[in-house]
Amino acid sequence: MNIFGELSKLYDEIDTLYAAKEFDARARGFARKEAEWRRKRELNDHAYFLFMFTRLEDRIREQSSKLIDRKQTALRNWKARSVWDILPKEKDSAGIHFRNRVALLTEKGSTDYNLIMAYYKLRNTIAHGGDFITPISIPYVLNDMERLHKVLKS
Amino acid sequence: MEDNALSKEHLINHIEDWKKRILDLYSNIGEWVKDDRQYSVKTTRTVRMYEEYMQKFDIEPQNLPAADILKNGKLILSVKPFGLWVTGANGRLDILSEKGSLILSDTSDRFQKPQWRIFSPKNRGKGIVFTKDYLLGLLKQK
Repeated sequence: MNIFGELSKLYDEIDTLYAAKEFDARARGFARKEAEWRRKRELNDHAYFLFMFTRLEDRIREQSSKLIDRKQTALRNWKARSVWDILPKEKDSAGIHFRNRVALLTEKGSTDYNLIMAYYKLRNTIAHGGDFITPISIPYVLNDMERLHKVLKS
Repeated sequence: MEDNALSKEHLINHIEDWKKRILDLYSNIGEWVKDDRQYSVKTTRTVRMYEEYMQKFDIEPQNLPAADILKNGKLILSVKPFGLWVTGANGRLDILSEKGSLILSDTSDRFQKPQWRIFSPKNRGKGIVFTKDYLLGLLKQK
């Protein structure tokens, strides 16, 4: 099982448990408890989103770095190589913005590019002190991230 | 949704459309179960909607109805709005029970005829069309 499969299983276990508790509180008429469990589910969604995004981000960094390294090594003509030579090949280098790394792997403005950018924006909102108010549907996100992880290659 | 395509008016229209779709859905659910006297549907309780776009564009929080399905007076399923602006769907609700949650999403395009599909942990892909038969099958398990 790959990492997304593992995350999916773990997420489902926790969300199922919390949802059952939310339902139980509702059935008993405990409105505040119900709201608490709903909030826990929302926070859980955000946590798993961030976790999944880090896996995708790592993949993008790894593949874009491989591509840059390959081009720097393989292109003999310095004019053709020059545009690659100015890019850092290290995976963790801050010398190339994340959006540009994505643009090396999928066409800028394409559906996948826009999807990744939307997730990147959401990731930044959550990671930099956002209010956790965006509803995130993890099953869709999981499908997207798993697919993108597979298709984004150098 | 692209931020530069948004306006407060557009968002309000989208919210009103969402409310209507929810009420139509509950109306259908009521119709589907009405022939079996064991079941009844109540929509008296609400869920607060105050998503990011609403806060950004200074739109007041909304109260959306939830639908409780009872069997012989006991709550067995609860259909609760989860969110409108959710990735991959034109609105999503949760169907809660003692066993957890199923996802009920409208997979239609914005302002088009709703296409409700159920997604479960074992069926994350295309989902199953939400029909009377599906709901009655689900109720029989409770």
